[in-house]
Amino acid sequence: MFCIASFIIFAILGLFSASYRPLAKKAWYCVFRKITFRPCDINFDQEVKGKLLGSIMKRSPLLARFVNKWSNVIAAIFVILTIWSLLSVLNAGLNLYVYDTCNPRNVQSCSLGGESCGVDQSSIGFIAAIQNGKLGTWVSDPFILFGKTIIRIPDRIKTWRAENYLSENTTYLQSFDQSKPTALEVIDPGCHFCAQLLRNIKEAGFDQKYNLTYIAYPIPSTLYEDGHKFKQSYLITRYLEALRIKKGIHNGIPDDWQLLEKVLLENDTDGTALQVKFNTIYTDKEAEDTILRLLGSIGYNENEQAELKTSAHSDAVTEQIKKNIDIVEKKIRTIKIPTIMFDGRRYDRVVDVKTLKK
Amino acid sequence: MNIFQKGKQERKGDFAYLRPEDCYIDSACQSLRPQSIVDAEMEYYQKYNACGGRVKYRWGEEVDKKVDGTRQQLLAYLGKSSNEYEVAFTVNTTYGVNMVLNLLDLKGYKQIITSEIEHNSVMLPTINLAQRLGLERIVLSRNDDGSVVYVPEQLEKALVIMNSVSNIDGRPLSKIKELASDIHEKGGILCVDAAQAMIGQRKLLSDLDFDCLFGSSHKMYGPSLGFVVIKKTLLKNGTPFFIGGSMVSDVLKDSYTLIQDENQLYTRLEPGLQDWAAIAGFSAALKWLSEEDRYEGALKLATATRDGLKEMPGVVMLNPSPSSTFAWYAENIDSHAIALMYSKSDIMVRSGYFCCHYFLQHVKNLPPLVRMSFGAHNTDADVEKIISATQTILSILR
Repeated sequence: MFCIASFIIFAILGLFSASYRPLAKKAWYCVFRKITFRPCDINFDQEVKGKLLGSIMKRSPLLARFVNKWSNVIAAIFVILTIWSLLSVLNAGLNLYVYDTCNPRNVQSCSLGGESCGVDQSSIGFIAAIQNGKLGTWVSDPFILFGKTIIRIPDRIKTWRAENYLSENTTYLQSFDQSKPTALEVIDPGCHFCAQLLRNIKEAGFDQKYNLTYIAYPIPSTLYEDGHKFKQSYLITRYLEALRIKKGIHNGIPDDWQLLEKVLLENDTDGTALQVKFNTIYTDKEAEDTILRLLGSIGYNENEQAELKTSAHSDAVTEQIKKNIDIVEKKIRTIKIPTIMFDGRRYDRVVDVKTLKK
Repeated sequence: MNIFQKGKQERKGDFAYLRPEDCYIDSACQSLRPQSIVDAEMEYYQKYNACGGRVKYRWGEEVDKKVDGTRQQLLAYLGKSSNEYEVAFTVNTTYGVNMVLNLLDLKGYKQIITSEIEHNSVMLPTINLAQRLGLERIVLSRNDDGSVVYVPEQLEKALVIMNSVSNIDGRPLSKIKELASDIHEKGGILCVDAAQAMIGQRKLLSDLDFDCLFGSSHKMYGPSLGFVVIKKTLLKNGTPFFIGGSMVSDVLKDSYTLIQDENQLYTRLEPGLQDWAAIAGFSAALKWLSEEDRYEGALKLATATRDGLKEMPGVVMLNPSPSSTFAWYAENIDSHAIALMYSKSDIMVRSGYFCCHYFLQHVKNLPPLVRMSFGAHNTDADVEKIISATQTILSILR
């Protein structure tokens, strides 16, 4: 075990300094002999151990004694941790490739992935697993997730056609033009990265080149009572779907798009972003009153607002949202919002202006 | 005081240049050079840095004078006459052994005899020579006192080559004079590997009627250089296999004539240019060795160290008799690990089989050993440091 540990250390050091490469080579020879069940005739273990203990001995003979006694155990732990780390890095790399995040359980914890709001996957912690007698689940969970990741690899290389994932009653920011390709974004009205994406889209003139549509997907979460990551996302989604069913258009722009733009991009009279207020300040009643006020600014009178309110809380809207969720979770299978697909590609992140302009 | 503060005694005089903490205990491989030897070698480079041999200018003549003088010094050191013996310089002992074994005219000889406690510099050339000439090769066993186990009949027309002091643990070849007498009585030749004997067993060698002797200047406080002291008759009858510059009196298109001058027979073992600076340094070393007894001090320190070590649990000494070189191992502890740990404390010792694999590994079935060989540079502080460090190391590795 000691020579395996030595090989790992010298191989890593050898990447940065040529002086360690002969030692790494020597250690590899020893490892190779051992894994092929042959004696390591150069006694590399003893050589490394002697040098190590000699150095430690100069500082503390007591510590050297301890290291000598437990060197094989220490080496074994080191090797196991290294292999575990290596597998974790490889797994993270695979996740990054498949999901655009190294940690699908907690998307935003990975700084290497693109900016997005994560659809966090449920997982059980070690202590909770012991408390609930679910140690087996805790052990098997990473393997199940790894299996799912492997299954999802083809998603990364397939051609994503937005037309195949449109929801019923879909609306386009600009009038639908058959000569233009379609682009679809999956958004959550509470996700500030969706607001950023919409700003980029506007700046890049992307909505002029594509028939741009969206699916509103309130990210589920166990963190809040209503079961969503952002407090008022589900309510706003209900109104968006109600407007889509109504097919209302003012000033040539679909009303749901107008409401969405207001929620994502506009500030309240006190200068605070509406999205922030929906997420953190408004009570349910204040949120709904604000939505109705925004509808009024679009051109809906009080009666029409009341009518929309009824529609937003209807079973038909609930049913439509379920269908949309099915598309997102079963067909698109994204765990990062926003997700946008155009030109056969799919981006699970905020796409920058430069890319949108291409 | 811990082990790392010990052994920092200033080394005075000839070895004042050493760092106080450096504890070099490998003189059996190569002894450290006193300042005067380093100066002598430097003097050659700075004052008469020229070729020797057939050079007519002043510096060259100076070199020739120094080299010839060194040959005489070595013979005087061994108490031998230049009428009977010739001195040739080689790269080292191994070169000397190979040069001579391949030069000797062995027609009429029946066997090659060596002993089990031989350095590979003797062991391997005898294997090769026996195979090449189709001679029987006999490997004699040796008693614990170093004497050879043989019956005189075995020595009939034999080329006998063996060490006079073992490089493993300093054990001498006792009764070597009787052996030489028996060999010569049976018409044989005695070649002595004296690499380890030149300082501690000088008297024994002086009294010995050897036919050929091999040694190394670098084990005698001199520069890296080998030498052969050989009877002129052997040289005259031999045919050098390694030939080239400085060896001939004439060369024709398809033949050559070797130098026949009785006083230049050494040329048969000295092809090409020699290491003049090393020879100059060796001259200084021989002078330094002749000034006073350089062995007793090292022997005393080695004995004190050995006595200290042998009391430690699990330590097994190979040779109980006093010598400046001794070898040991600690049961169930790897000697290489001990040597590596010593090294971190600036104690430099050898570990392994010291080129004596056959005897140690296959005859005695011993694990790798630690060898300690003291020299004139060592001090009491070294002994103290080694004993203290050994106690610590063994306590760690147990």
